[in-house]
Amino acid sequence: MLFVTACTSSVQDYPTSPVTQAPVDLSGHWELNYGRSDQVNDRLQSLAREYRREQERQQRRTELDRRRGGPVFGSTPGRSFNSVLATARLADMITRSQTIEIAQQNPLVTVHREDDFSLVCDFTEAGEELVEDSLGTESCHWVGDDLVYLTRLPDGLHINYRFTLAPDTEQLRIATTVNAAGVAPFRLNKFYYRYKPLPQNFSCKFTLSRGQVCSKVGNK
Amino acid sequence: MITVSSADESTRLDVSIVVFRSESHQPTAYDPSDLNRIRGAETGYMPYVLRHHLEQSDVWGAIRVIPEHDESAELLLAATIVEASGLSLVLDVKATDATGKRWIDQRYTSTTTDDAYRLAAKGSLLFGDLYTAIGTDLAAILATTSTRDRDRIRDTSWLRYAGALIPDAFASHLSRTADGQYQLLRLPALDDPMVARINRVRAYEYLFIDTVDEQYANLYGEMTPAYNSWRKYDREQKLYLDNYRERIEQREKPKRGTFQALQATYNNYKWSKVQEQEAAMMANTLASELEPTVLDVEGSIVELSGSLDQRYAQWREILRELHLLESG
Repeated sequence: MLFVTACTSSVQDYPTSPVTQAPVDLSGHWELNYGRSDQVNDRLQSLAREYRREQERQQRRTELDRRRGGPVFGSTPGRSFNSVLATARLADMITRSQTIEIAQQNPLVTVHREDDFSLVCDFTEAGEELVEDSLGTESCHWVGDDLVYLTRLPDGLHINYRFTLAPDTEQLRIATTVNAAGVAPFRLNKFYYRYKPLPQNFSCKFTLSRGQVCSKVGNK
Repeated sequence: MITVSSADESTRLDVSIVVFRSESHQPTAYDPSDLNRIRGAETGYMPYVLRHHLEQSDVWGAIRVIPEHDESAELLLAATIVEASGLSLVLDVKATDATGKRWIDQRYTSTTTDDAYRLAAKGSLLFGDLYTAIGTDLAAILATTSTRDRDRIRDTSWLRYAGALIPDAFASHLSRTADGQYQLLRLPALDDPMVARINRVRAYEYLFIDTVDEQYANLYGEMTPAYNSWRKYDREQKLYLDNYRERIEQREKPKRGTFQALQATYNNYKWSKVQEQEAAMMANTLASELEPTVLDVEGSIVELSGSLDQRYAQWREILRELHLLESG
């Protein structure tokens, strides 16, 4: 097996050991590997089948209870599946980045994601970072060789990203778990492979006084 | 009173503005090292803006920006940057004359308006009202300072300078009260050769300060376009975020547990992070853009200060020997 199995069925706090030195180097350019990555529809179909089976079991139990004349315990599984569907759609929405770039220079690890904000971990202090904001709280830590980034948002919405580097360091798995209040966590595994961006002929940088300034690479 | 100072006959006081200190700790999303670099540049930039404002009032003598505290300055202005952003500027300002009298010990605050940056593009100074207020307060105190008192300040300034060079020769000319004020006891004779020597040394120091001052003028010129662009962006970004948070509070929330509710919660956070990260990137851009100029200015000042310190050590030694010879 390429990756060490990581059982992240929920976004509970992990046992962590503060480290100031990163255990692995995640830096580089990474491109989505569609073939290996979870497809949200496949996951949902499997969950739907599971849900239907559970519903049938529930109906049989209810029928049995009714025949016996005992109390009937009903449930509202329809609403619950809608909630799973909602977390699944969100998980799909936030894991769409085709490419990511990770910059890791102790004590900073920055994950630049396409079309989304960057996940920034600063391990300057005790090996763990906690940033609080009125719109959410984020924390970051190493669990073994995995980088775990947790975002806690209002209304009990927690999002957990776990970055696992393959032993050959050429593949990266990002396990994203969305946990909404009262709903089973939904996890999507996305796999990325390392790629080298094409060399650029021009190096451009934005300046405040002159706007975008480009120079030919190699020119002094 | 007979003044021994070598300035012209006017009763104008010279003003020395020491490079500001920064104690700005307002929370930001910027990288601390970028913020430090920006704050470092501001400490040299803002004194120059203040100098410019004071010059416009045309009531002062020479106004100089100096790299370190000069206890013998006729009027010394020191300030701490409490807050500096595109939205507001807060300075704690202290002004003390050579006799130890405190002219100002006050906090000045200014907030930019919507128009400020448009006018700044046409040459108007940002936070001009703050600098004007400092200038007005100083001018008001100056207006109540008699010519006799101004002479006393200038003579005390001269004697403190001379006393720092040759303590043995001038220690008995001034006394210090319990509350730290200097009192003039007597003046040296005008034909005392030591007076002329001290004046020559001081003239050399003024030459040095003027050269240093040119460095701050360079910093001001180089820094203004990028710094103003950044402050404008910083202001817009802060206002946008405040407004965004308000709109979130007021917005009708989708039914809890639905995709729309989860999406709204995530997107609210995402947009605030995107804004913060863009602001941090802009701060990094500014810090990187200013760095060569700041390093250049700091390097020149360190070089100049080093050579001046060396000369001072030599002068002190020569003047001390001359004083020993002349006093027998």
